Amino acid sequence: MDFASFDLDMSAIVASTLEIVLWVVIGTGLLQNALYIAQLVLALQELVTQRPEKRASLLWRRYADISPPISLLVPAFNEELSIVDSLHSMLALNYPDFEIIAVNDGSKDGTLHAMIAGFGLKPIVRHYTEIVRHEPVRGLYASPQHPRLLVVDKGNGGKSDALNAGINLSRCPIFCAVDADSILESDALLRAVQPFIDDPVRTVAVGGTIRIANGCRIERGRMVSFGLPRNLLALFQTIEYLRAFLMARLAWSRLRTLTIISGAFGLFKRQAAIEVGGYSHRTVGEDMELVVKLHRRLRDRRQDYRIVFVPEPVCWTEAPESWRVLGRQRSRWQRGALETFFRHRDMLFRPRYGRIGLLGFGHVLVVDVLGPPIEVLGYLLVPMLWLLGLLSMDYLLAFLALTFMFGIFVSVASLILEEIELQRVPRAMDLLLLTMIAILENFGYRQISNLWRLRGMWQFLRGAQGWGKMNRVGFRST
Amino acid sequence: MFLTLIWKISVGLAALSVATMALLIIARTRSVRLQRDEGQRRDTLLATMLEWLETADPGQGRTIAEALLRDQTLAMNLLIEVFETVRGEGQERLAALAEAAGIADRLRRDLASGDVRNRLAAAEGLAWFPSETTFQALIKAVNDPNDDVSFTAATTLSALGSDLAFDEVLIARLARVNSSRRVERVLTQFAQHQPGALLALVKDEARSIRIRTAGLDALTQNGVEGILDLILSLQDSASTDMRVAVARNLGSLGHPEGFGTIARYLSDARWEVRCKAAEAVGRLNLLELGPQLCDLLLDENWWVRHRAGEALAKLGECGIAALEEIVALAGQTALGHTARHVLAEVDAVKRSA
Repeated sequence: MDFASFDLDMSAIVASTLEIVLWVVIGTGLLQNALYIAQLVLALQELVTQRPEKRASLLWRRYADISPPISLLVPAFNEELSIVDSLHSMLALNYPDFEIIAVNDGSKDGTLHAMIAGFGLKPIVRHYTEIVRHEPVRGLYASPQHPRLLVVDKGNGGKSDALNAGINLSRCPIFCAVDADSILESDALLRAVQPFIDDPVRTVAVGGTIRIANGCRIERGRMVSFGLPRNLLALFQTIEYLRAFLMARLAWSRLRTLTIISGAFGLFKRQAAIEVGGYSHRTVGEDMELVVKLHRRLRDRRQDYRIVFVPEPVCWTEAPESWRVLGRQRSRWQRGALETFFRHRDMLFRPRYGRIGLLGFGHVLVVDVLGPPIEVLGYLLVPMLWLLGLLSMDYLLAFLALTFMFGIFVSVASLILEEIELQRVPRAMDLLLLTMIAILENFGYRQISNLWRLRGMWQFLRGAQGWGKMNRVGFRST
Repeated sequence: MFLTLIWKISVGLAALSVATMALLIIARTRSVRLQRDEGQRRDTLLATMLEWLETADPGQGRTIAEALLRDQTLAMNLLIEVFETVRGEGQERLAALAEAAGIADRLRRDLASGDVRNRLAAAEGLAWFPSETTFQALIKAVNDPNDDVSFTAATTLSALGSDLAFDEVLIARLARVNSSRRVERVLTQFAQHQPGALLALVKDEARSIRIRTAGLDALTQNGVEGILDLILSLQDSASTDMRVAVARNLGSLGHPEGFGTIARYLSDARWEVRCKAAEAVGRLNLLELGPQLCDLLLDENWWVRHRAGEALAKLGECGIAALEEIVALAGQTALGHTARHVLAEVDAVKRSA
């Protein structure tokens, strides 16, 4: 045997394998970035053509008498400290006809007692049917002083279980799922309901924007003034949320391929949600899962329908400020996306599901399934090979360009969209700070975020369940 | 070559985005100052307007007129808010002042050539400035490419008492976007001013069911002559939506001649129709249909059971007694469960009242 020629063959094989791997990394990066450019263009088109009405006073006059009734479903688990303020703030919403169904999901603290004491509630009986599955209801509470409020006490079953109980008890044609620790702007419902007014037959779900409340002044569950977070992690998330909502969701909504509506703020036609069995159990991505189930069922029935995102109704939420909690949240989100993707994997590229199968699921495949491991592979391989002299400078620069430069472009561009069309950031100095954060997040934060997502993938492969603990600072101290 | 191109394009895009953002920040620095000044001017003008509405002082009137002339965009936004809260003679005086300051002209111009948001606001705002020129501008705007603007213009025209033709073009357009709830508003306006045209639309089977049912609702709301005959003529429609609309409108109308149709609908094959019919029984207090409502407490559909229970409770003492008897006789069954819950809800409503 000729060892010299064997060595030569082996190094040739290694070199060509490496080259193939590198082209996969670069190819995936190019595909992701092409998707981002497409999203930016579509989002800009959507914002220009559907420019939101800024004058809130006009909305009531235009829509109040034709707005359908809405049930706000508020699942609450261990929210003793903030639930009363949150519900007070929701009761003050500027909307003509709504009810609030707060569901105590077997809290271990005094959430239920806080609500009973805070609103003077008494046990009541309400006629309802268990059309979607959930843990048994232990009691219902209401008060004549707050006729819009119904409190449900039930055994612990998770967020989706609590929402299902709310769906059963709701008597309105539309329900709005809201997190108990989030704050809706007073005109958020009036803005979010517009697709249901414009197209009440075809519209089945509408999502609104989630923004970061850390740094804002909040009093008794109401947003008093806007401010940027002081915590670096929360600032990074501010940019991330802008990118996710103002760019990605708006773009997919325009193409009618939206596959997720945030669990913190989404409106659904009650009957449509019931027909798909309500929220799924045994998943941490119940919000995405519900939307995908709706797509699947309506496509199977060849029904014409709309699932829409509207940028202007805003729900404020508290972002995690510690690396540990944020990491857990991101791993969970990744796990949720993968659970939904693999549960409905037969929809991918299947002509029967049209653009949802091709674009919606194709996007999840590229960004959520393939994206994280391939990007991390790139971080490991490219610099190492360059240092070993096995890779030319051109490869290194191309990889750096796709990872960092393009990342800066996308982050800053979503900030530009916000500034041109919405102008929600009131001070120029805040804009400057956000611009710097949009640049900075590409160097370190994005890479760590990818590692969290990889951990989420690992948890998914191991079949991990549960949400993990979410420690929050609380709005009272923001 | 390709790899270098990726680098160059990426760096170029990043630099471009950062430069654009820098320009926007500079622009914002300036606009923050302008907005603060505008806010102050707005507050001053609003205070003067409200005082002038009380005192009618000519000096203040002149100040307002000058401000309206000087700052028309600000004035238009402010006027819309003030018009919302002021009525009667004060509103007319303010409208005359605004008209003299050219605000109505500005709105008519906006209606013809502004962006969608401004066209829409103009179509609404012109409701305060009725004149022949306004009518002409609104009639033109009914053909606006944007449906919202078109329907708002039609609604404003109709509300101003214009004899805008409820013609084929408009009907075709309403039918095209037939699911929008804004259509209901336009049709309600036409039901007031041109009920004959709307009656013909509802009768026309070639039209979509959605626009016909919306038309029927609008006619019933306005109680136009011949509405009962129209509703009854539609009772055998093959469309579920139409039968639901018939039941709903018979319930709203409250005419005794609707009895036979409602009774028949209580055993319709579609639950939506049975549900609306049960509601109508309660609204019209049709005691004779009480036994049929009791049967519906065992309906396969929850909404029908619920509405039948509510309707029974609305029948007064007889209905309540029937529900109590059901609870006593069949307390542990599904029937008894429904009756018990309905009674508990009725009791809660009474106590809170």
